[in-house]
Amino acid sequence: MKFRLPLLRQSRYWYVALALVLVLPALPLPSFILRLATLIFIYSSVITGFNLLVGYCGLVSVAQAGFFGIGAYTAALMSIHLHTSFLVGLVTGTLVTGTISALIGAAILRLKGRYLIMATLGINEVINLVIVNATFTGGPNGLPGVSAPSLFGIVFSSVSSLYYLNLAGLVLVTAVVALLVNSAVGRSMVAVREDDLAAEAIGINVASTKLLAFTLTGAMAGLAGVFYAYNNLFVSYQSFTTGESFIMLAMLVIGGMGTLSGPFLGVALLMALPEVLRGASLYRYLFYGLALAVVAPLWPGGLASIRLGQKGAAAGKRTVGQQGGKEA
Amino acid sequence: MIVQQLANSLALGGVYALMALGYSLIFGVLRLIHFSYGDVMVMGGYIALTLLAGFSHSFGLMLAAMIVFTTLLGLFVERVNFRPLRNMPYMTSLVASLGMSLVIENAILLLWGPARRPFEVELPIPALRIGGIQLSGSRVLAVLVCLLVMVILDFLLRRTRLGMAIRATILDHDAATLMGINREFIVVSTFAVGSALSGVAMLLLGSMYGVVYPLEGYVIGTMVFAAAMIGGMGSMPGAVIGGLIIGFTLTMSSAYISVTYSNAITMALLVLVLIIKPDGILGKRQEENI
Repeated sequence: MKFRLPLLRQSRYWYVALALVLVLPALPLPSFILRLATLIFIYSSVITGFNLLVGYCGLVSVAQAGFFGIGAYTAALMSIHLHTSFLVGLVTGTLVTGTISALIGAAILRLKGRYLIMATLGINEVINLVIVNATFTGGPNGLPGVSAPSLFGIVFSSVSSLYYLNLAGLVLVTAVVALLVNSAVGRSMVAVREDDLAAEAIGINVASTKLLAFTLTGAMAGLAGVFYAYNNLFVSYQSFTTGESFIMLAMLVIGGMGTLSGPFLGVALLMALPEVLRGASLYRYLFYGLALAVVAPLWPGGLASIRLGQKGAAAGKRTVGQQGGKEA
Repeated sequence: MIVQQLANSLALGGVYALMALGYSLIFGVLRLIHFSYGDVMVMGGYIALTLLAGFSHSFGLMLAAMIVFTTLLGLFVERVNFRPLRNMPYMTSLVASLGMSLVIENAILLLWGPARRPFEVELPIPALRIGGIQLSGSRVLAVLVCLLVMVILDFLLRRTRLGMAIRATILDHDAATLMGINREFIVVSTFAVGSALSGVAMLLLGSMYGVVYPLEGYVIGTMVFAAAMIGGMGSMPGAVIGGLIIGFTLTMSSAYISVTYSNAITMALLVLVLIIKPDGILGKRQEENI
């Protein structure tokens, strides 16, 4: 696997898209578009991290929203009670979530396939029920009063400054994942995904590779959660339910598992389309459901497998799901 | 008090056992997670309630309507959500099933609104009082109906040709097909049986709680999934044991620990069982690659 910069490969349409992303705040657009784009960056970070576990290592989890929530609540609680800075919150949120996911991963990672899905579902339920019912999390009312993020003396309070801050977060996460998957560690993850027995036979420590993928994915979810808390300045349990985890899985599958551009494409489609189709709030989840039930079977490789201006390049051929097909 | 709670958990557990049986049958035949199982059940309940509203609330009629509508909906889901995906990758069918669950939940929300809906049913038997235990009519009925349905299901699975074919398919799809069993027919009949069981469960749950709400399918579906998983997917006695354990945990943790945490405690129990015995209490060895 040759190292290729994500988003910049093969098609010059990507240059146009990248340029557009950079100058978007300068364009005369209503501010809700910038806010939406900022949310797309945050969720793309979560899904990019998630992709490491699901897309590259082949382990399906539905606890991603729970870990996202742990990061967000850690940062929010620290900002409200300890008045810590954004950077301290970012590091702590990432480390706390990474540690929790390492502990959980150590306990449940010997489960496989649907058993793992079920265990992670249970974990997300537990995380969410604790958030809703505990007093330190503000219960169902959530936690308001996170102070605006500031970094090196710059306070990010305007819509466009938050846009760039969260874009930077996405670039950071994407760079980490891009470097990882092109390293020996990333290749052992792909080997575990393709055939864990064969991977074991060539000397890959399957258990520790899985644990590493699970921990890093959790840490990146936590990191994105911190960005989320500092973007909304408010956290509430509704963003971290198991249902949200399902939607995160949907974003990844629809975008394209095991590809670097897939997470961004999936998030952009699933978050932007309901906004474009106005009067959407009522039909939002219906739309998500239909997208899942219809798009996933039509393009098993996801949106990233559709190449603009190229024919026959079915990149989606080598995604995780493929090998699971034989058990049915 | 504790005997009273045991009696309550037996009634709730029996209902969960019924649903876990249906769930486990479908899983056994298809080896796929049926995420919209609980939603099919609740939507069938809504349709039956709406059609019978202002007409009759008699137990027999309600039971028939619930069974008919959950079965029809279950067959519809099989046709549009499972059959076209028969040879698709595992992840694709998983995600498509999740999508179907969202579609049904939101269809219920759009058609009937988010409010709780009273679930009226005339019970054919009165409340029962044995010693210090007070059992409401709905709970007595739940225990009786569950026992009856389990006996019928046991007969169906052990003594009829269809039941034997279903069990053969659960045991080994390929060998069953080689023996001349029509797999498609077995899948359809299993969906019919499984969904009909959820129709019975819907009526019993509705009469116990007195209300039904749009997202109930998600909550119940998760618990049923947990019950089938704890007992061991594809094992019929396992499903009954799993259902009883879930009913017991839910009732006891609401009574003695905290109502708000009872779902969390049940999910934690599931994770614990999975860690100790991944195949569930009576499940067979799992064969999965990743």
